[in-house]
Amino acid sequence: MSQRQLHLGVFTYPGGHHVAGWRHPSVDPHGILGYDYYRQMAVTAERGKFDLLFVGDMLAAREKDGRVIAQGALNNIDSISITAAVSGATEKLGFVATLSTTYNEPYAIAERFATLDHVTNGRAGWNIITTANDDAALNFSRKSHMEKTLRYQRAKEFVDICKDLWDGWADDALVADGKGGRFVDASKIRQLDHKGQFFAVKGALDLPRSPQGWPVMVQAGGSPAGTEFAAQVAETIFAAQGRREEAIKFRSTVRERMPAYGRDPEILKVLPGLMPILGSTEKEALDKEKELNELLHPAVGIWMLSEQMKFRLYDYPQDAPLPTAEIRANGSNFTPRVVSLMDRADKEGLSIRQCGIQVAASRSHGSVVGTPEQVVDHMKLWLDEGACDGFNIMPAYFHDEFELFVDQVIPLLQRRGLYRTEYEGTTLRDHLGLPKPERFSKA
Amino acid sequence: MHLLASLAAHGWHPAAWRVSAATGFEGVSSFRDAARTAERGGLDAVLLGLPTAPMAARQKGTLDSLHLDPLPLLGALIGVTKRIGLCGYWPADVAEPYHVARVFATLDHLAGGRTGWIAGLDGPTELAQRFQKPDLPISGPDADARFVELIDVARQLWDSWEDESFTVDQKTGTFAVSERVHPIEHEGRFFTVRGPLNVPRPVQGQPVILYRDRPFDPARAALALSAEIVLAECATVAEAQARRAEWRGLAGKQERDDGDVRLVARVMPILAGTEEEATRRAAELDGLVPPLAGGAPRFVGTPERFAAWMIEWNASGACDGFDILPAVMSIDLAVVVEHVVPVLRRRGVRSAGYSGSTLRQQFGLERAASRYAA
Repeated sequence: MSQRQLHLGVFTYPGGHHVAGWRHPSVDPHGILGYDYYRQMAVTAERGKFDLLFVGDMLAAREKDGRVIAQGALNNIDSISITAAVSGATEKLGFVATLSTTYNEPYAIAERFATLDHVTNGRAGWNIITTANDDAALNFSRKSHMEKTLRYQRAKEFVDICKDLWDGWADDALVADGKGGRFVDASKIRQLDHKGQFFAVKGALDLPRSPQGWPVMVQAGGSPAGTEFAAQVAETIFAAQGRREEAIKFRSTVRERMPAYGRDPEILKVLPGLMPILGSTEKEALDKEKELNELLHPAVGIWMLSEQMKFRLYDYPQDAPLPTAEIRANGSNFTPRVVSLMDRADKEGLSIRQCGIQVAASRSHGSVVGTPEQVVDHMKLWLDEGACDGFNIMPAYFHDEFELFVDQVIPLLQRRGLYRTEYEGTTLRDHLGLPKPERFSKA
Repeated sequence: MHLLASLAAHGWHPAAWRVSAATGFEGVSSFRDAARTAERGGLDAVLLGLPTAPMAARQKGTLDSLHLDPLPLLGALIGVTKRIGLCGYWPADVAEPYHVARVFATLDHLAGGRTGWIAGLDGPTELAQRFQKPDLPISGPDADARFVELIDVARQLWDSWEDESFTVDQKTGTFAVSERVHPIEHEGRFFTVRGPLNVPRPVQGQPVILYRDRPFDPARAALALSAEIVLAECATVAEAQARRAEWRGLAGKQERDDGDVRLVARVMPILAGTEEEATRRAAELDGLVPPLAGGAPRFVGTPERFAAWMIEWNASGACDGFDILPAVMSIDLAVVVEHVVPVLRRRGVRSAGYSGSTLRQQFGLERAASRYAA
């Protein structure tokens, strides 16, 4: 069997993905919300022949006891705005924007992504999330966040409506016969009439079918409900497993579930998050990691840990072992990331402070610290062992660390036959090797 | 005199698509071209997403019925323009204030303070089918009250980060001054929103708030608190004078200066080098598709006479400026830029180039102050 090739995304973040990344001296912290900041990321990604640029979504501020975390970091700003803005500075790069099905309406989102796919000439993807942050409910006139099983039921119905709307126009519905005066052939535009558990929607989009038919369907979140949803709808997964064994297990679980929904597992691309910290020697890379971790304010780590474990750790001695027994007794429904960290804390006797650094440093995604050769070895190992189909790269800070990756890691990947040397197609579906959905097909 | 242009895929005359060079769908490219043309003419702003025809007319299949979501469209224009304002219509009927505030704060950061939100209501004939939500008031006084509250909540959210709150001080590791970022704790009839927003304060404090006026608007008195640019469709000078006076009076009652609200008259020009040619163009367009009832008034004539007509409306206190609805985008917008704007400049009602870098500066509107600032 020939060597499989990696697919790569770059995950934007104001400052960078290391929680203290924005404090790195190379970062201009006042530029992190402006157009040029994101344009440079996109241009660099295209120079590195990346499949896509990925932007997340959060619907509440990071806060503790009603106050934003002073030493923390900002969330991603609106993903549709960023991707639409920088798409014009690139020609091939794909864009994945994140929007929640829990706090939006299907007609509006179908129109938004159809527009984004037109605006980008077929380079759009939608990271479909149900929003994991309980606080979002309080910004949307709801007393509490919708329960997870219901959220995913709603998400499934939401996505089905969007697909029906995207499929509404036949490819030859737009006649545009100026002489005869017929703009569209109305018989070729299907008027949806949907009545379901969560939504009732009647009508069609005022837009021709977009270049990709549907944006690429992306999913993130590894809970059992999320995994089942992924098996039903995802073409690409932004995965969070930081350890290889877990990643292998997750990927094979989703792939095994896909045939039950009549889907071919071979199309699925699983891209775990990966924060590379690069040096020309291993020592240099380790020093860089140490420098970043020293910039990390302890309060942020403890806060992130407390939020993720739904357990207030603020009054515990920071050098005591993570009280996993109490945390487990206090809650249930922990995310796979949290379970994984608690297991590790038990095994290795990690302190609260050390765990805080763990979650804060890489936002609990995988990280690899070393030379470009070591990073490439790591990526190849994951690929060859079936832990992934590529990675969503989470640079510790923008732009220097990302440019280092593009200048030093990408050429090595290419030399070793692990990565494309040129784009072969023009759409995001082309890059990811995904078929264009047939109109009216129900995946 | 303010000068804006409403963009459309082909134009604002229902027959525009039939006489365009490209009769079909060109995606974002026609909007990019139009925005650049408008910027070349030094126009204050382009407006995106306002409907060119009501749904009933669109569904016959004989009109250009295209509608792109103005939010990604606005985003896509940020990188291809430098100075011109970019305003997007986001009808409030089914919107959530947190989304509106978050998206426009983002756009305002990305565009360096050049954005405006066109607020308005689409009404049940446009939206009731597409968003069937039994608990949502889609018409009547409740819809109006919800609209007024939505604007208020969005503005609170933009204020929730004070100007000096986003410090990003690398030395101390302090990203934000917690005490200067405020939960808004809004509990109203329609919305309960804790806040704060998770995007720092927009460059302009708040994006400019444009309002799509309706002929008989019961919410006007309440909207006079926040509306800065009112987009009005008035058939005559007298009607516009009365409407402008009404808005200025209502703004005064909200303890605002009457100059803080500007009435911008919407007009669809059909222009040509001679009167005969302009009349012929209008007859040709009307012969292809009869004009729709109501809506913005039209002007048919030469660029010189159009400029004089605008100056007369402006001087008589009918309006503070115009929103140009080019009958055919590829023709009439270019004529406005090349032949109307120079006349307006010669007559001293438009200055050359842009003043300042933000849309508020261009309109001569104050930067919005945060209600939380000491």
